[in-house]
Amino acid sequence: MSVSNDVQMTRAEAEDFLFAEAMLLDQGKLQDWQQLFTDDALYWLPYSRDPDIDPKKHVSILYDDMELLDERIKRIQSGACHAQIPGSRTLHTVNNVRVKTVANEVVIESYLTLHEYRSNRQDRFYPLQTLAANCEHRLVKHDGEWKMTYKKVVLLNCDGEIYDLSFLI
Amino acid sequence: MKQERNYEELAQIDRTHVSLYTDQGVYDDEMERIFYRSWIYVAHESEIPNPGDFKTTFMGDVPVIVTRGNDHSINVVINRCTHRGVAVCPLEKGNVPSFICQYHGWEFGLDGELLAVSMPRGYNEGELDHKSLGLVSAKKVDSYRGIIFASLLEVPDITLDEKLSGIKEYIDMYMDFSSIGEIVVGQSGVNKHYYHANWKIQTEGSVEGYHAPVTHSTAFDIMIRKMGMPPNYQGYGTKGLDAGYGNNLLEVYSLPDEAVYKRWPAEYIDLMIEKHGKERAMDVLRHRFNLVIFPNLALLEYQFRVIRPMGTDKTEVRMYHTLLKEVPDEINTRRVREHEFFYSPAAFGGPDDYAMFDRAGQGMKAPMVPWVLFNRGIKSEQIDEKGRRFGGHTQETQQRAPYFEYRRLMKVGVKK
Repeated sequence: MSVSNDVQMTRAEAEDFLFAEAMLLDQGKLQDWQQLFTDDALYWLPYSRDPDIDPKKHVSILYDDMELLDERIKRIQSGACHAQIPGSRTLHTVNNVRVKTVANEVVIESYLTLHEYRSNRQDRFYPLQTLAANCEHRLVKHDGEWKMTYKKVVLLNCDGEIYDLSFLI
Repeated sequence: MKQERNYEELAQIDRTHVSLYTDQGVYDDEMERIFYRSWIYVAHESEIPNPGDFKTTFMGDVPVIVTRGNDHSINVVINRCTHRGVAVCPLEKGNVPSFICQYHGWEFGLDGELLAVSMPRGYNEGELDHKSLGLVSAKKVDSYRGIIFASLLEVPDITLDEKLSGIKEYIDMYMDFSSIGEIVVGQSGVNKHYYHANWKIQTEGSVEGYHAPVTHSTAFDIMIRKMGMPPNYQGYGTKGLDAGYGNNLLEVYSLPDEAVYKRWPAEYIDLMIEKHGKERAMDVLRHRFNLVIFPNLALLEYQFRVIRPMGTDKTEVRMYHTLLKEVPDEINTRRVREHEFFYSPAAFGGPDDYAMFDRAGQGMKAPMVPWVLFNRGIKSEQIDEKGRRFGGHTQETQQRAPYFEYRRLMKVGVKK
């Protein structure tokens, strides 16, 4: 493997990356989505808006290394993840994209608006859920491709009453 | 005139009537007879360590404030200004010198005493009786190992000591996972769930051994492959226990010494032996259990689970993560990771439970199918050395247990 030191990224390139990522999630191509991460990446949804929250001392909504993310995806697809029967439709909208370079990584900060719906539920009237979040993606160039080493999603209501987050964000 | 329901008929030994989960009249009786007149969990002392600390919560439908007074005493008062009915405390938690209702400026002390009102000269002599206009206090507050219970309208007919008599050994064990027997509740995170069905489904569901291999097949598979869960854990002293006064327990396992050494790092085991003595340390570390303290609290390995009824068909569940004092950091980090793996809203276990509870809320809309069954293993129940009923952990002794107390309280609470 080779990690390039050429870590400049324009806002347009960053948006293209985030739009492509969103599309994979919304199309349910979860294995392809996981391929956007490096093997040692972290995917994290904290339970707090505090930027200094320590995940070693505080429960997170989700704190996955790639091994656990792999298990998570397989579980969602197993047919035995009951909270996902029926499964969610999602629509990720990415906004307010800012790009900066820190050390050898590109850091993309963005706002996410996520709509989620579950059709075919017996109890009917499933309300269209709207979630809002700040996202931070850290990218490196890996064999000529941008890969995520880190994705952090801080929900606006991360410490609030949440129905379930059995789908991927 | 309202006709009294026959709760002996509705909550039988081996079955409950579906109306207990759907009928507003039953719900109202539960509020009056259980949630306002018996021991209800409100807080753990570690949530309000300093004078002026407060936490708001609910006893049934009633909003209350739990405070630490200037003399370090613990007070439970109803969050309702005695003037015009406004909640005097608008926050979940914090620290204040007093509570000032922001509608008309009535100020109450941490123990609820009415200290002052705004523009007092508008009251004529005899119109304002400070003594009788304090925030309404719970009739009785008591605690065990920092776990605070209160009773709102009456002093309960049993002491807290009696209420907890069948489970103190398990509460002690929960605390003694800390090398000094102390925990911190909620500081490391609180999961805030809700589901669309009756509160008793979570009380029953917190000690559910039968569902685990079905609902959680995917999670248990990962726990065994990757998280050190013994694959044959069901062979290790599992049981369901009726511990009296509605309290009950699912003993997930009780490991032999060699499995304890596999489950926990040596550094932690050594510290526990040093502080608690070998026999006690090993006895604590071999256990994993879910303990229900009827009606609204469950202690599970890493959490205080608080059940809040919100009408017949909606329930809030808060899971307060617990940290152990004076243990290696890696032990608490592991408790954080294992908890979020199973219980967060994105976790591998909890969301599947709430999917089942929502489906229970749907199925129970059928009044012509009247019975919910709890008869599994009733013919093979045994009595332990302390006189407590127990059965296999996938049987339903632990779910039959709450209804002994339910029948008792629903009868005790009838207005004469």
